[in-house]
Amino acid sequence: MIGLYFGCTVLLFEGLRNTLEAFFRKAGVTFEPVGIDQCCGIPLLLAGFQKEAGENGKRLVEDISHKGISTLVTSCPHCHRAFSREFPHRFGLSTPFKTLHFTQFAADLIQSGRIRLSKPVDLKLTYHDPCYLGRMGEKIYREPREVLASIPGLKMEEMEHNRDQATCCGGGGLVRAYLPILSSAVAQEKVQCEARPTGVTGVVSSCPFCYFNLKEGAEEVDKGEMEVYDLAELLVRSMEEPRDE
Amino acid sequence: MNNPGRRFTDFKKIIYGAVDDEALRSALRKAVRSFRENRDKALNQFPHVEEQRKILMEKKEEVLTHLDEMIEKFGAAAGRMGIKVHMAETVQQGQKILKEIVGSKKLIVKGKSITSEELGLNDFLKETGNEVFETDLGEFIVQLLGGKPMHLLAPAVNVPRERVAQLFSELAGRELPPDPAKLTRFARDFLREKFFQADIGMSGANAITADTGSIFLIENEGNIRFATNAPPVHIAVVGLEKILPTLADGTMLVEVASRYAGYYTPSYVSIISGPSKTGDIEKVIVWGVHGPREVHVILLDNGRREVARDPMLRQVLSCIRCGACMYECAVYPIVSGYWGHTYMGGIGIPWTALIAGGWEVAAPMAYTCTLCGRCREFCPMEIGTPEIVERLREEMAKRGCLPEYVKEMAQKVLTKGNAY
Ligand code: SF4
Repeated sequence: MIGLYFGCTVLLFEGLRNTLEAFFRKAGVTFEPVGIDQCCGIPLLLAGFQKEAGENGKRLVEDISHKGISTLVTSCPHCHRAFSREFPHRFGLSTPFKTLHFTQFAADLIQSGRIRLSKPVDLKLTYHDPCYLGRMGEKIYREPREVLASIPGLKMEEMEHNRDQATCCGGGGLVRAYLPILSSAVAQEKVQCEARPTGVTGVVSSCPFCYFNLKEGAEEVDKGEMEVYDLAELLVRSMEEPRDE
Repeated sequence: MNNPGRRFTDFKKIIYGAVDDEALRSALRKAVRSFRENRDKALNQFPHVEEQRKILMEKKEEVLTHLDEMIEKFGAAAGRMGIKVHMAETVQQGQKILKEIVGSKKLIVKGKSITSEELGLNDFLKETGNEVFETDLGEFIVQLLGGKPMHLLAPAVNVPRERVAQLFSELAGRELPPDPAKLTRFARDFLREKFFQADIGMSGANAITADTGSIFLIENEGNIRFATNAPPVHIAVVGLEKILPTLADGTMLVEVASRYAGYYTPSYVSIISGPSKTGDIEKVIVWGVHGPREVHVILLDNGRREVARDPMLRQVLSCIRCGACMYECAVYPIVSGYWGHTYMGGIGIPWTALIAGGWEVAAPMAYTCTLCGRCREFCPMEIGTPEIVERLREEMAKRGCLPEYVKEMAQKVLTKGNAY
């Protein structure tokens, strides 16, 4: 069974939960919601509480294993890194399920023709590689780009620095918790120096935290002319309702 | 100060001050742009540097895992050449050694060196009754300002030309125009006099080599040449981690460090392997012909040997101070050297925590890093700063040195499963 790990981000961003549920409904895939409101523990690790993060992870992994989940889908790259890397490697927890980031899961479904993207999204955007999905995670660069490329009407441009060399949105490492104005300044810098030169009208991210931080930063630049989008949301916009068969 | 909360609020104020400084931001943007252009040009032109940096990484690891042996070899080789080598375990010892060599009422010219800042050299020398001049143009400006350097290689990156003109005019006692060429000309004339009057020249080192006992110094301005050559005594303050096995490794470091720093080829590389001497008159050895008659190396430990014993942490000692990580950082180009103590930026966090500053000073710096890992992509030594900072945060959290809000978030996750 497929488990959809909501984590704590659904508390922060109301729309996210609806988007994810709409995606599964439109794709006609059933899922078991897991970890609603439950933090994956990455913030604990980043704060300096490694032991506690390990205990938190152990509890989560047990919980999920009991539910008979075979594939765990996370929408947040931090949760993805927690389940795919930190839990098994740092804490030696055995995870009897496969962890996929939402972009990987969606790319698979598109590839196999399970979902049809027909409604055009007429935008010209650039993709922001979240650090925890890319360089600091499992280097998931191909799938999000494939997903975006398959959305009709959508045109994509690369920023000068992308993939391994992508610049940070500024929200990572709990800096947003200590120095929110600095986080926003980093995001503004990214919008101005990386996104704007590509000539796009918006930035799309596949991380709820990057999304939020970039959005806040973008509002401060050029009277908010640069929009920020969530990849899942664009995808859902382009999907058809499932046909009754 | 043993109130960590206060440190975090004070640091926040400093950082937010930098965020609001538009002149600083545009200066840094310019600096980042030209750095990238220069570095890319240098690395494209000399593709063998990629191979060299990998060899250099191995050499650094070799040295750091055999530090005592290397120190001994260096000491013996330098000794044979007539260099006096002093070992300083701590800052206090370093200052004591320095005081014995320098004494008081001396005029001292200095080349840029962060290791000397670690010893608090300028203040210490002044307190002991000496006069000190920084001779690197950027450092000279910073010294006149009474501030702190803002970048490894561009210490005055944040100072506009008008401010420099004002500072130099005060020194000159006449009005100088805000023209970089004219201002540089003034500094040249002013410092030239100091070079020749100085009793002692001081420097750091980019590398020292164990087989020949040589001191490597890289620069573009030519001030280090003067400072280490004109005065009768040269003192180099060198961190232990600067040792490399051979002279050939030293030349490799020159290429790697300068190209990664965007220097293309530096104008000057000095290799000093002993005092100046001659035997030209009846084979009688006379010391101090045109160069110094005395050369001292003060080797500074100050925590380095202990760091070198830890396989993960010792990576930080392989830093060759090219500055690439700072230009490529998300945070540094906004806050510059305000994010630092003696050592700055992301790599400055472990250096501050473990060597120069201590845990409490380093903690606010550590929670200013977004841990994005981009620095490692551009570091010639592939130093894993984010993992190291993560580990240091663990120790900081144990000591209660973490931002209040971060602590609250962590507590919420523990008690109710999420931070919101
Ligand atoms: S950490 Fe790496 S990139 Fe940064 S100054 Fe040191 S060697 Fe250069």
